[in-house]
Amino acid sequence: MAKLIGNYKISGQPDERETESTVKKEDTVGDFERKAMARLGGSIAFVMKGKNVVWNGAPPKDGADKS
Amino acid sequence: MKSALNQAELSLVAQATFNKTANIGFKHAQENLGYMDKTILDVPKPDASKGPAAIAMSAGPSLHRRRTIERIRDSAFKGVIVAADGALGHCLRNGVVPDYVVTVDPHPYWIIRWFGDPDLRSRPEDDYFRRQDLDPALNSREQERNDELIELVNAHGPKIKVIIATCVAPNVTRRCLQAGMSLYWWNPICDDYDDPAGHTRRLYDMTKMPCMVTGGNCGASAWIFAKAILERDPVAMVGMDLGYAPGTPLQKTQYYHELIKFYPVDRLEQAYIAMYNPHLNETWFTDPTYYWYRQCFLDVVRQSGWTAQNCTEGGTLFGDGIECVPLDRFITEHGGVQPTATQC
Repeated sequence: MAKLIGNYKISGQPDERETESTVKKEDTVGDFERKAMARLGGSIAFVMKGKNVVWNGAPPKDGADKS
Repeated sequence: MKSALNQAELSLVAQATFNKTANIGFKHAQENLGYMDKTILDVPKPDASKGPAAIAMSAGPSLHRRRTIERIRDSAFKGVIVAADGALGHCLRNGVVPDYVVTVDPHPYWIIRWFGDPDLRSRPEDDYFRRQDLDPALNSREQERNDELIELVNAHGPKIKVIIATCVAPNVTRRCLQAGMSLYWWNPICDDYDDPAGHTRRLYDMTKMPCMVTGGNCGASAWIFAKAILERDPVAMVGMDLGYAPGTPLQKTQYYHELIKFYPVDRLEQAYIAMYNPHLNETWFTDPTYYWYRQCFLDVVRQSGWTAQNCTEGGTLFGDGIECVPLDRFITEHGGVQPTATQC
C-alpha cells in the first residue's frame, strides 16, 4: 500500500501522527515557526486602551495611579 | 499557505515588535530631546477650504498598481493628504505634496531613505530597498534615485509638516530639519500608559510629548492622526495593502530574508497566509507581520467605533468597520474634480 500523508487514514495503515518520528517533526515545525515569528517584529508596538487614541499624561480615572 | 494566524502566533509578533523597537526607540527619544519643541497638539488645523475629508496614504503596492497618486493628482482632490514616510517619494515624483508626513519606525538607517539619505554611501550594505515594493523607484540605481529624492524633499520640505515620533532615529530628525520641514512630536503608545514602570510612561515622563496609538505601522498611524488630531471625517486609506498581490514571488516579500532563516525552502509557503478578498474577488497573501498589522487596525476601528474608508483597491484589509470604496467615488463625494475615466 502506498504511503499517504495528510489529515486522513486508510484502513490498515498505522496512524503516523502517533509515531515518534512524526511527533518530533511536528515539534520541529512549531519550533521553527516560533523562532521565525519571534524575529518578525513590525514597525512599532501597538496597544490601545479603551476608546482612547491619545493620552497626554492624565492620571487613570479610578485614581489608582499615585505617581 | 495557511488561512489565519492564531492568537498565540499574533502575540509572538506583537512581542517581537516590542522587543525590536522599545529600547532603541527610548534611546532615540533621549537623543531627540533637544529637538522637541512643538507637539501634535500644536498642529494647525487644516484650512476650512479643504473640507472635512482626508486621505491617509500608506506605501503598499496598490499605489503603483492602481496609479493611486496620479489619480489623486488628476482629480485635484482638495482635502488633506497625510502620507506615511514610505509614500513621500512617490508623491513628490508625481507632483503631489502631502500636507503631513508621519514617521514612527525607529530603524536606525532605513527610514531616512524615505527622505533622501545624504549619507547613503556609508550605510551598511543590504538589499532592503532593492527588494521592497513600497517604492519601486528605489529598487535600482539607488544612489541616483536617492540624490533625486534629496532634491525633491529639499524643494518641497518647507510646505510639509512632519508628524514625528520621539523614537525615530536622530538622523531622520536632522534630515527633516535640513529640508526645512516643521516637526510635530508624539510618543507611540507601546504598553499601558497607566503603569508607572511601563515603557510609554517612561517615554512620556522624559519627553512630556503627547502619546498616540500607532496601529503598529506608519500608515495606520497616519490614519489615526487624521482622525484623532486633525478631526477629519471621512478619512480614506490608500496604499494600505497589508499583503501581496497574487503572483508576487515570495523572494519579493518584505520579511522573506527573516523567514528563510527558519523555514525549510520546501515549506516556506506555510509561513504565509492566503486571504480571499471578496471586494476584489481576488486571493492575496500576506506574511505574519502584515497579518498582525491587519489585526491591529481591525482592533482600532472596533474599539474606537470609527469607520474606515478603504480606497486601496487591493490587499487584505476588509472586515467590520472597514468600508471598501473605489477611490474615484470617494473623491467625487468628498472633494475633488473627477477625472473622465473611471478606473475602479
